[in-house]
Amino acid sequence: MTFTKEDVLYFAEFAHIGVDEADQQLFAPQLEELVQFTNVLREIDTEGVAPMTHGLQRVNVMREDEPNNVLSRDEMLSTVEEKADGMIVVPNTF
Amino acid sequence: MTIMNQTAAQLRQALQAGDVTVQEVVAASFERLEKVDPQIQAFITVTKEEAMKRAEELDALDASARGPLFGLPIAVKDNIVTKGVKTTCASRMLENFIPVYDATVMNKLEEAGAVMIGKVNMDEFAMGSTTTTSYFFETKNPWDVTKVPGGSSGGSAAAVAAGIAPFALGSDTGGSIRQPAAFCGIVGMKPTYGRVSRLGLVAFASSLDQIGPMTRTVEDNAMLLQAIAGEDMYDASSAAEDVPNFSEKIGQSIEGLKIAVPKEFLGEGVAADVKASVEAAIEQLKELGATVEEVSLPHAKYASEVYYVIASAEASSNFSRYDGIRYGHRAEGVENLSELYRQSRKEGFGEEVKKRLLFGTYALSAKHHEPLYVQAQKVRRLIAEELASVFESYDVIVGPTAATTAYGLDEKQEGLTAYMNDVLTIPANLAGLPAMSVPCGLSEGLPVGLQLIGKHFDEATLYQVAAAYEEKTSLYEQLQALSGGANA
Repeated sequence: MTFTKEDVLYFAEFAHIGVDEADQQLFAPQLEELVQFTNVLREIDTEGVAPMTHGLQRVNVMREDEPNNVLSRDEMLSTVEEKADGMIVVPNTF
Repeated sequence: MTIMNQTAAQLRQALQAGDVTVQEVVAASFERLEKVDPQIQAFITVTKEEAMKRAEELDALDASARGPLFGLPIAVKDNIVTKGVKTTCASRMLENFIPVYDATVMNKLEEAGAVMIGKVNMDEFAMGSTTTTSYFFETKNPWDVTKVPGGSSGGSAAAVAAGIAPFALGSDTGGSIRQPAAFCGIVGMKPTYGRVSRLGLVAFASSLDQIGPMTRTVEDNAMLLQAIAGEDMYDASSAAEDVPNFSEKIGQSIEGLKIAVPKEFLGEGVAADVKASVEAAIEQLKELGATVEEVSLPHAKYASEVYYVIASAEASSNFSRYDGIRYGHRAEGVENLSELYRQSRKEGFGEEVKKRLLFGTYALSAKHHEPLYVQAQKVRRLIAEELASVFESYDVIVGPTAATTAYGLDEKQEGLTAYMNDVLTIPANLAGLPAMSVPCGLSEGLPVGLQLIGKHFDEATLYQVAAAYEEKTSLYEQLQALSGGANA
């Protein structure tokens, strides 16, 4: 199994991580190594084995739907660099 | 004995008796920090003013209002959120991030009367085992400043080993508390998954991450775990399990306790000196009355592969929050939203992080999701079941914590050795079992760590065995005497 520079670009687009030519050169062999390393898993017999999804099996943990201990807007924005009207200011990117 | 050469238990006694004030203890901590940290660089942020102010407040408290960790200094790994204090995860992405709330463990430490002295260095976003992937600087091993302290909780381990604080908090996803504890000659515990709240622990792999105590002695370790453990309504993955007295069995004989040593843990790839040290420790455990038998964990050899798939996949999901919008690094000069995301993440993340996020994305992609990611989860269950089966007949599993002692800052572990490191520590994370490292000797001046793995929620038995071993070998005193550079 290979991992080409095009593959790097493809998955980087998915992950919204910008990659330039140098990055593609850098990551292709590293990812190829990882892919080949983990490939052995595909061959292991796991017939009848359920996937283990959690470190501890707890069923949906619920509480009463009552708001409590909510941070005020001012508190939430207290360490934001640029804010206005109770919102975080972001660049106009549309 | 100087203040900072005392254990947390000794300090607590001295503080309660009024032999020393909190301000004196905290001042001594900073004095040591200022003297030693320039050489080891464990600290990213030092909170001297806040700490001294808090020390003053604590000294004014009525004796009846003192918590169990009254006046004790603690260093906190920089992936644990601290209100008003920069929390960087040693990444450019969060270089200037100041949280607006405290992690649950921080609230518990505050209630217990502990004093945070600063935030310590780590591998970027906890991805690594040397602390060299930190965006800021490398931390050095106090035993030999040309060597790594281990990782990713390298700063935590170094701060304790260098006598700057008797307590540190680390986090462990694939060995990140235990391995640096082993490399730095201290005690590190990764509790049972769910034992300690993850609210405020910056998420790496949510089904594996745990915060845990790092200290110089077993008694201190149990004391710190006692203060931070417990179900948390803000962490739905935290366990409903009652918190027992973790120190209760410390001092009890381990006569008749059944110990299992997986043959895979002492195989090829483990350095001869480590093997010898661990085998000697196992002999000590036999002399203390435990029975020791060899077992096998056939699927443990896949721990590394399983870990890389699962941890990277979970990380790729968790890290989508770093979008440059609400917090964290935001790229400048971009023309559209897509570019804002891409540039912010390109600039904000280091190489190791990007590599794992890309791999995680690959593992979760449509074509590979079932045959790789879900498959890894199945193998995870096989590994967990094999461990569970061992615990049907045994109380504790024992082996080395790491395949070698600390290596050079410029060295890279490869091949079988790197592999063995993963095989040793990762199974406990996959199965959610408690696991700790205690020092078991020195090899060429560098500490060796003995790992103990226990049944779910049975940290108390791990402390029992570790304490019995620690007492019999007087290893803590030996290490204190020998640590020379570490505690000079």
